[in-house]
Amino acid sequence: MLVKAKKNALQNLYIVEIVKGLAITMKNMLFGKTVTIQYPEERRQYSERYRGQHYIKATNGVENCTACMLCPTVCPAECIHIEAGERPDKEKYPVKFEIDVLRCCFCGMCEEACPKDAIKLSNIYEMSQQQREAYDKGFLLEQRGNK
Amino acid sequence: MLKCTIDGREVEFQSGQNLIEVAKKAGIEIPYFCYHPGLSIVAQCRMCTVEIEKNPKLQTACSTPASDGMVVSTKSEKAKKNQRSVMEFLLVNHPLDCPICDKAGECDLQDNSFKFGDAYMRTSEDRRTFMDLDMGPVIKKNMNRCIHCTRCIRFGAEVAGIREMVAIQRGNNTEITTIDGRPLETEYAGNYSDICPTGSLTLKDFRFKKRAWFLKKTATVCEGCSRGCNMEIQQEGGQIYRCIPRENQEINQWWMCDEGRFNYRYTMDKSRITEPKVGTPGALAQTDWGSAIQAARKAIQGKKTLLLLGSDLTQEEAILLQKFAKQTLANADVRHFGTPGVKTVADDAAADRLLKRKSKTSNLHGVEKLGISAFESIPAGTEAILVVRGGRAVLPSFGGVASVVGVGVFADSEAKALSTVLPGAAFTEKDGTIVNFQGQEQKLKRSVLPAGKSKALSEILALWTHQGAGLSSQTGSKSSAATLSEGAV
Amino acid sequence: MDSAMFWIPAIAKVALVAIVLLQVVPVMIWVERRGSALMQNRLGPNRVGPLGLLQSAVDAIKMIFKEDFVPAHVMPFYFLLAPVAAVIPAFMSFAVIPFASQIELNGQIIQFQIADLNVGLLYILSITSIGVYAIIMAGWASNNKYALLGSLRSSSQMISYELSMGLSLIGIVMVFSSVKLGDIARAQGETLIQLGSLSLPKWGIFVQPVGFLIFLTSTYAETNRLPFDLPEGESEIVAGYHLEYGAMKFALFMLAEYINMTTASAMCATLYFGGWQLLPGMSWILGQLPLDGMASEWARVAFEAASFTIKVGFFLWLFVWVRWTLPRFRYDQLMDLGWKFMLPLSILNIFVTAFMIYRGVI
Repeated sequence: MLVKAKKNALQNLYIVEIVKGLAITMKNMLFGKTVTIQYPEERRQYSERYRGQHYIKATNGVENCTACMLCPTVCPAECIHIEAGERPDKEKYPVKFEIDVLRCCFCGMCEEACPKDAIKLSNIYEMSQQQREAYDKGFLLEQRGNK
Repeated sequence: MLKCTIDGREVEFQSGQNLIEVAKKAGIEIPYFCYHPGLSIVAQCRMCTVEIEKNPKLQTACSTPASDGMVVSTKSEKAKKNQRSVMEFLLVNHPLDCPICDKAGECDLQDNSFKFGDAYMRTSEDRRTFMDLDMGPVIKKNMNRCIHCTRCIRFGAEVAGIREMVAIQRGNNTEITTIDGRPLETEYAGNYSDICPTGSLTLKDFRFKKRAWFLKKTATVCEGCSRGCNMEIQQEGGQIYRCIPRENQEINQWWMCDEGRFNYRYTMDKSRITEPKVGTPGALAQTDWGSAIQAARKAIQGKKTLLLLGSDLTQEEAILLQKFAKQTLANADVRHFGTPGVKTVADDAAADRLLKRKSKTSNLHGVEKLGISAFESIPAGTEAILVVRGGRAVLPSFGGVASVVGVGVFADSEAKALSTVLPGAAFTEKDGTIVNFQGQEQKLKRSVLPAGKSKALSEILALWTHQGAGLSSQTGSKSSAATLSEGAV
Repeated sequence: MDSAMFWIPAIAKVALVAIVLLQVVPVMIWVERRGSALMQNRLGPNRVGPLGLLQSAVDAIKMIFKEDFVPAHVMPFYFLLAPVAAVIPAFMSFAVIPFASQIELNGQIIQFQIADLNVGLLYILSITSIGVYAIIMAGWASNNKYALLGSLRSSSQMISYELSMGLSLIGIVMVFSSVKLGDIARAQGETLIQLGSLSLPKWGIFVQPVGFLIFLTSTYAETNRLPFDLPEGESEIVAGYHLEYGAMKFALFMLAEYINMTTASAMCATLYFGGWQLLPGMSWILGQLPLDGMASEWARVAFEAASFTIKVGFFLWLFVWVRWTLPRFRYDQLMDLGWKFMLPLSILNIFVTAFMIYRGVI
């Protein structure tokens, strides 16, 4: 749609407006405060409640998780895959606990659903890994970012 | 007509009905644990207590028959308070390990606790704990979760006909166990898990496999014997996790035998042939459908053929095969086979007191109705055999006939005598009608897709008839789909 | 004429211009990136070398070592020819720009200009308009809708603005009575108005202010720079004519764009800002230097070249400044501006100039 703004003759020439615009950019260049965060050296301060990398909390070296499947149930992205199993010291434990981090939308609903306080979201937001296998249970149990 | 009032609503009832059933009919829920319509009434759990007008004390709804003009309140202050107290009492010793428990999601105790119980707990004492003994291959017991409803004890004694579960000790120490800790003997042990209102008795087969709420349910019929118990297949992502009985008063009431319950396993078995195979008996090689059909056709065509159809096929499949035999296999002899020793309907009889029948195939009565006679022995001069079965009919000996084409579900070991295998759909993978020993027609419902490259019988026969042949050559013959659709008996 | 005396300075001048032009490109890219960043309150490239100055160098190395990929669906001959055809006219057009006056060496006068053609202005106009062929070729040979749209936009835009650009230059030609750029630059050293000790030189900007604005606007359109970068219009046609290009072939387009910018800036400086004429105050400084003979002559040339460079530098910076200030035009606005406003205005400018010359005002 063609919208015609009402302008006077001087404005129609644009010249004054262009000079005004140039003045603004120059002002910003000379006196503007740079807002860039020099990432690897400087880091943004995230909230304590920031939802980043998941981890499974452990008590006395045993994971809190009992593979109750409430987190895959509540997960809107369906990115949590758990296989339950049995071992002598624990009636039910997750044999496999995988989070498809690419799928995850970091809503934190798994954390909220967990009855055992096992799955938590940490402050870590750098999640690139070099190995495909990185995000298995072992990785989650490493307690990265356990506060 | 007899009438009573429940929660201000007038309900008609028949004489002798108890209040739980009457209320259920009116859509009013009375919570209960120990009551089961198929078992005797013990009024042990006290959960179903209701307030009845002109009655000083609360009455258990399960043991109180409705009477004319009775005014019942299930939601009065008194009744609610009692429900809360009973819930609290039952949960005093319950471990609340729902995250671990397989019953979670379909647990009466969980549901009723949520609906009628209190969110908070006042006790801080240690809960009683038990060491559990093995209960045999079917049931896993966890006594900690038990609320002493005694449904299992009554089921064993009254339904399964074997008094193997007992309660020992008293009061807080009551333990439900088998006599002398022996493993369960009954062939109906799966029902213990079904009737248990908590996760005290669970299926070993289903243990930690899947949470109940993930399962997708299909109402179908068991194909384990000629009774045709109503059951529900529960699957997720094409993988069947368990089968549980559905209520049908005329056929199986609420029960189901373990054989039928775990019958689905063969459809998921690794040894099931799900790719077309061609070769000589004992040495079959995998191939594609096109060449398998061609090989099958070559093995049969122009030869004196015996068509053996298993009595575990559906009515539709049997009719289709009859027509197929008439049109494609000139003068083929059509016979049915199934359970060894149960050749005809006359041989079929009850195998035990409860549900089991002697015929281990589902549709023996149906195929007999279609006028197909039983297989006795291979007629002299038979050059080729086409054997079609669902998966349960026991293959007879083929007596040295070299060309045996098998259509349907075969395990690797069963295919030894076959020269061609065309994999068909199992009972979980097809729709159809079966007729049980009472003459009741029941519908099989498809719950999962055919495994691997298996195809439905109608599809296989359509390929057989039409593949390679020009359309003009099948004048007058209806398409298989049309035949199937008119196949209602 | 001694052939050595002809060839040595000629080759030296060509080499000087070519090398300086090539160096302008990485520097300008750095200026553009850092400048835009600062205007937007960012930092820009600051990792490679001091202040990120080596960023352009490493970018160039990357471009050279990248795979020289030619998509399967293009017409390879024209596809490969296009970047070359873009760069060559860009370099050629600078040939007639005088970057200093002249010096007498062994009795021979050396012009600081590669070729003082007697049709200098027309030469530039004709050579720069060859550049559009490269863009058309790139868009057509890429066999890609977006690329073709970009090149079509580019050609129509260039044709539209070439008219007003040429017409705006008529005024300058009329005032200075020459199309030789050397003459025009020299003529701008005269005094226009004398106000006591202050003298206003006869720079093109003072005699042709309207013509300058039209010319400046047209050069932005001719070089496909914002606010007229519709041939590239990322938001509409991805990247326009160089969509299918990568590695060094893309770099050549980039090179051509920046060299075109430099040429346009040099044109602005030469035609409207006195070319190599010294900036105010420079002649005073020159007078203060204790030099004589050839040394003072060379110093004068150096000052003239510096003055020219400063002027060109200002216009180059203006290109960047405008790019990060003004948003892109809509296509109909672009055409409206070109045909309905700039073209009549430039024709009017010719008549007004003619009238002023007739009345002897300028």
